[in-house]
Amino acid sequence: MSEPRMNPSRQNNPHRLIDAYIDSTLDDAGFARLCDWLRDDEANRREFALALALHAGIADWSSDRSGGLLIPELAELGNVLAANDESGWLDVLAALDDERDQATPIDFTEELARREREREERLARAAAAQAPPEEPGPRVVVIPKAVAWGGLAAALLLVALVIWPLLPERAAVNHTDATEPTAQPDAMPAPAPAPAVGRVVRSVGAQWVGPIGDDGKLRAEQSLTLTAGLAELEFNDGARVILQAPATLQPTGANGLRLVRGQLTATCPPSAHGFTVATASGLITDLGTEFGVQVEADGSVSTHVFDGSVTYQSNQAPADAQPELLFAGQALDAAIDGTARRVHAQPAVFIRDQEFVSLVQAGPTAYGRWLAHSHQLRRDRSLLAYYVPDRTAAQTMRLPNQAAGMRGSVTLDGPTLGPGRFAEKPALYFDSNEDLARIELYDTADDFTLMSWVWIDRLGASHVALLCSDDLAQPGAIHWQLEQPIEGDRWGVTLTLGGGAEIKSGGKVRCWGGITPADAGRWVQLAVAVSREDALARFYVDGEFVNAGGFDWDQPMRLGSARIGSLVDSAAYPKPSDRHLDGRIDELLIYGEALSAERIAQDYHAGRPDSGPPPAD
Amino acid sequence: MTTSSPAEFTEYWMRSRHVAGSFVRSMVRDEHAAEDVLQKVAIAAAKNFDQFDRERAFAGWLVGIAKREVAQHYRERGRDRHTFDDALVGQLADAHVALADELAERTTALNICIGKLPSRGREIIDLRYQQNLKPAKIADRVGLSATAITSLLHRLRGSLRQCIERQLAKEGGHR
Repeated sequence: MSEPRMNPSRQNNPHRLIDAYIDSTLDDAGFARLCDWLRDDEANRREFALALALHAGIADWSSDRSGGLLIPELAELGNVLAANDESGWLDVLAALDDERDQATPIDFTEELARREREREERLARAAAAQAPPEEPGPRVVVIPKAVAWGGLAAALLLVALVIWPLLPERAAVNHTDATEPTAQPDAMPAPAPAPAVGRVVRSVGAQWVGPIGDDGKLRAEQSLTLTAGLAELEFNDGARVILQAPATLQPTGANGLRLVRGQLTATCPPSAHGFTVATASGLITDLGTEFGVQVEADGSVSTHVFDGSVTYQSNQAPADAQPELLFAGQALDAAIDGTARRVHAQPAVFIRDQEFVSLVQAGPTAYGRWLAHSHQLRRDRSLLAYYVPDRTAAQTMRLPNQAAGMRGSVTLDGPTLGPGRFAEKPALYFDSNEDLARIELYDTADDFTLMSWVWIDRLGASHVALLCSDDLAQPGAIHWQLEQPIEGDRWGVTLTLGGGAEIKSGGKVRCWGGITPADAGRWVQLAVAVSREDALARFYVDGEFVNAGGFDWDQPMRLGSARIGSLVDSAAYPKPSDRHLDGRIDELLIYGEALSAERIAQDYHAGRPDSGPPPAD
Repeated sequence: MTTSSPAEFTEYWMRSRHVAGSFVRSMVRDEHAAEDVLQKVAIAAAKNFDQFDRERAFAGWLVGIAKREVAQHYRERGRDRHTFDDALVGQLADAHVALADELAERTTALNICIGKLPSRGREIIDLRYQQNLKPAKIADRVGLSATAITSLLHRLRGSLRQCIERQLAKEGGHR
């Protein structure tokens, strides 16, 4: 779609010109008029500055909303400080949340002085050992967005604890020795049989290719491939790495590895600070404490920091170039050609220590099978939304979107937690028409699949709402419901495809059969896969195809503002109490493609609550 | 040379960060690039803070650093198709600095006013600012024409401007 042209009757409106400049829709003539207007009068330049301040303010507000950078970063810093046994800082951190809005500075003087002393001692020890100092010289220090755009307390912490000590002038102040790092490398030991640099500590369904013996020891420069499962590696300096198959790596020493392909999460205690992950695109160096790395087949690398900080140095960068510094909550996608862009960290994509322990403990149970599958799903790029109820939802009243790189959490207003498919996890429990789970998802998809595990307590009302857009008149809106039969007892699963008045409405696609009152009181997987090209909606129950229905709908799906388990009260539906779910929902997925029957069956078998045999290949 | 502390720099930075942010965004329209430039401004300011004359206005000194970082950005990445000439850049920098004392109050008022926007307006704001989409892409998403989206953004910004002025007037703020 081409950029809009300005109506000639409005083309000289200054604010229209400014808005067009901000939104990059201004043509050359319009830009010339804007410049002339700005040169004319100081008052005009003030108007421009105010307009840009408004634009900047909206952008700041939007970034604070998206992911809540400020508080997680403060929490991560608190974790780092707490790990150093500065227990008083946990109280400080709690106070930060209260004092943040009052913008009252907190006195970090003592902590600053302590860290400055520790840093000087560390540099002095390094100089005395004639080893390269831990801090190799001036660096470009990146201030996280939360500090650059706002947050007095966060700014104080980060400037004081990270930026200030790294400034080169300060590095020179109290040093008695020359500050230039020695250019003399340590003499390299003569080549010797590769020593053990670490070992495999635990694994879940791991299958290896490569010289890894029964003792599980890792040796430098030996190439290993994890073809299936997960493995936890512990390096001699204390770094622990959780590796997800498929992955190929080579340990480079007691404090590093080369990741050729695959995904890992690294946790580095103080003894392992400086742990490196070398990739085809660049080198990641840990500064403490936890981060994830993904390397794709084309050599591109994605680095996500969960705790502490890391640096990233592109292999294409000149030797004296400053590395990128990433803090908790930040991520960097880098290509092999040296290009890179910053994004938000996606912790849900990586298996971290707690989840790995859960997987190890779950073992070959139905829950363990589902848990491993769930972790894989989070990396599925076709997923628009993936919601999994867990115990934290009772406090947070939210279900975050677990699909990698996607936004939009579910807000809970009424539903409680009830037993899920597995004893280890809960489900959302709806038992009245006042139980609302709200979702806002504005992504569009020509093809899509809706999938959910549902427990129905009662099939009494005329309809049971599963997932319904608030306003069916909006383009792309949908209603996914169960519908009472006019006669007989075989309920229908219906998908209503909505649209605006000027857009042809697709009407309702029904699939009769597949659900009967006998299905109440058990977990059922429901799925519908919609293909616009085929103009067909295929319905599945428990991973098996039931029926398909054609439709005439010429727009992409766009859920918009919607509800799970109920329907909004509106003129079109004046009796919402007839349509709410009496039961539970455990897992809701929205894919941006029409899944195949095989894939739907795989998802069913991976997630079913019994421990029956897997499907035949 | 003054011996400065990180707390002192941070306090100065927090008072003037809005000025730097709006000036950088007026010169660098790509949001990610503007973020990068602002980070470099902060680092350069921190590095040279000892040389800052406390008798001067910090906002003016900071915007001076921002002008240099913007110029460096143009050298490295190439100029935008629509770039102001040096004289106008200087005049616009002065205009931004002149707002320094007002911006904190205006930002507070803006946060209140955004909260009053209807959900449709917030949706458009999210698409434009959170997802960094231009009007044509927003139009694709919501099924309206690009012209309609442009007008909607214009009206939303106008509404926010008016709301901010009312909020400031209520609190006895600036004009």
